[in-house]
Amino acid sequence: MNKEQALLQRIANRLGHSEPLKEKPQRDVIGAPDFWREYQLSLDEKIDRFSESWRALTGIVEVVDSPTAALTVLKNWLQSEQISRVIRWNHPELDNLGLDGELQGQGVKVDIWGKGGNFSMKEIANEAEAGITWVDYAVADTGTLALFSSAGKARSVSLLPPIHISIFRADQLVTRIGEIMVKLDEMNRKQGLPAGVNFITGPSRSADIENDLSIGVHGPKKVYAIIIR
Amino acid sequence: MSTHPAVPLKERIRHAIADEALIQAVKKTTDKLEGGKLSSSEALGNWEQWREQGNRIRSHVVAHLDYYLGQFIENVKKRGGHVHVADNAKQAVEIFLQIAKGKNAKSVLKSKSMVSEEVHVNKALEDNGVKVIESDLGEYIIQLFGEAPSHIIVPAIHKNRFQIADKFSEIAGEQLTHDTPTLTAFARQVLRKEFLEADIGVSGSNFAIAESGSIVMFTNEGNGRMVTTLPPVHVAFMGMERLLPSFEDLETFVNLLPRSATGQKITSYVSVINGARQEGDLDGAQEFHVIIVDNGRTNILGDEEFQEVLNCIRCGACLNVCPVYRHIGGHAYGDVYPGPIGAVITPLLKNDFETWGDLPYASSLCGACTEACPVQIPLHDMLVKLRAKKVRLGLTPGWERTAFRAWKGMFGKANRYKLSIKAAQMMIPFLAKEGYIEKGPLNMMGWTHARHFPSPAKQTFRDQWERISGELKGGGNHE
Ligand code: SF4
Repeated sequence: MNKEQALLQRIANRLGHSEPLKEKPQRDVIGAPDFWREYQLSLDEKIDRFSESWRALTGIVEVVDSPTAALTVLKNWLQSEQISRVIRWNHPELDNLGLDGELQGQGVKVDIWGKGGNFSMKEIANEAEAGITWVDYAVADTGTLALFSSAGKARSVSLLPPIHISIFRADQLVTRIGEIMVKLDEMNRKQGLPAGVNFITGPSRSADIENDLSIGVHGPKKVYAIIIR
Repeated sequence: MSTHPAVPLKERIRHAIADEALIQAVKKTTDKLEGGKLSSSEALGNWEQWREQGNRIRSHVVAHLDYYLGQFIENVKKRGGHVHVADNAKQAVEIFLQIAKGKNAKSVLKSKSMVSEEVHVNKALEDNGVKVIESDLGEYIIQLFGEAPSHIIVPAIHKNRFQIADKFSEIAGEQLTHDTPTLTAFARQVLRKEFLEADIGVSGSNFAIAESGSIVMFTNEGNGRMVTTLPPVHVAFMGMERLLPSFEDLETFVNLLPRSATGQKITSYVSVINGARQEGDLDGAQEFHVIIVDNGRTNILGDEEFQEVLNCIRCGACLNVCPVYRHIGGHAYGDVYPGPIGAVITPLLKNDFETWGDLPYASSLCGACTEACPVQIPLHDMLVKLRAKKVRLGLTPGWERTAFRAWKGMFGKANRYKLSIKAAQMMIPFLAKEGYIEKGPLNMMGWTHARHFPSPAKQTFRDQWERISGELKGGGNHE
């Protein structure tokens, strides 16, 4: 018997089972309480709720009507933050937005994750002043972004630069985080879970010094979101 | 194996309450955390139903832990992760050292993990010449001071900004100002370099998902993400009871844990790690290890009186409301888990009532902890049961047993009880001043050391009742 089996056997003994249970146990409650599952917002409510929650945590958000308008907002933000280097996910939606040319025209160097030649992508991300992502889902209830990792969608981009800007379409909004949890369960059952899933709500923060809130301890200090209707 | 606190509980408490600054800092912070919890749970609504749900899910998992832990282990392996089992603290440290040696690691960067504190991994690493850095801001601060955390959620609760600024200035080689942004920026800059160069990242796991073999971390600073994203190896420490069946269940705890811990609707980051990086990924650890720690937990399983304490999600809410914790801070509890949860779980995990059996007495049994607990652990009932257990083990002093035998003899019979009350009443004029007894005789002295005992009423309840019931029987129509 190896150590794992021995531990499981020890647990089984303590619980009064002759050997570790192999059969999936019957359950009477799963997930969130029933009343919470009925919580469902309309699209407009979701946009409002997300924006409200996002702003409550110092986040900045714009709701726009078209990809072109999104690009304009993005350019303005980068300009007012005086940013000269960004790194972005290698994501088809961001390709379609055509931001590389536009930003370079404005004097901003754009690096794309995975296309750093011989340079370390982590170093490039670490030196970038902003990271741009196209998130997988966003949660209206809490103002939360959900980011699934993959080759082009690295975790470093939303983590290392001091500013994180995320863009998504309004139809990627869900009401509660549990809706994404169910999707993760489905992905897992189809062997399709990414290596990392991050739910991000607001900037990096700490209250470890005299319980005084401080922003940008290790992760981004500022978070921006653009919602395209 | 049981470690021993250097000095007895009473000594530790005396030491703690002498520290005025500590007490003020602890009060201020716990007030704020408790206030945040109350308003955020109220804003969510149906808090009792959420607690009930949390309790039912956790109780189910603990009662079927053999199934869920087995499933988790299998799924971690399916994803190519390495699973290690540590029966006790010593083994946990040895396993970690083996991994570190195998990787020829020079530097280990840690994010918050209570279990790694529980098994004392840092010292062992340092003794082996491996640099180990705590990256959670609060943990980083107390590591620089060479101290242990004094709160589960706010480890440096007992340090003020002046002390911190002085310490940071030593490292910076220049005098830093004591404002929070300056101090935070300094830590960010120092630690960022370390994150990028570390050989191994260490995390804890707030939850582990059985069905997928994932670990889940709730963090605010981003250091938990750093240590799992940048170093080539990620080692997660995990208490063996930390499981949830599926992601769907996590929703309940996303709603319960941050609110109970800090009053946030959700932490800045909820990070799910599904093993090492996948094909094509250029960040995330290349190797994933999980060290599953027993260290006394199996002792608690199957124990009807105490099994439920394994439901704990380490939120710290019971600390913030505890009048004793608020007066003595975390260090006085003598081990990693302070407050009511510490008073319950420490003697049980160590299975050593001789050394740790006095902890359950560090409580006024007011029940605030039980009321605060997001998974409805009846903490104050357990504290009473632990005291009873200590008595059953014959570990209470002889005079106490004699005293209670005498008390039983006296109060077990109505006429003797009456007599003793009469006798006590005759003593009042000698003891009480303005309705309070400030210094009681003999064993009351401990009690009246820090508070006044209300003097007994002039007329006992029995006497009053005799009179009132007579009057009531005498008639009087109340309708
Ligand atoms: S016992 Fe309850 S309140 Fe205390 S830390 Fe654990 S979950 Fe939180």
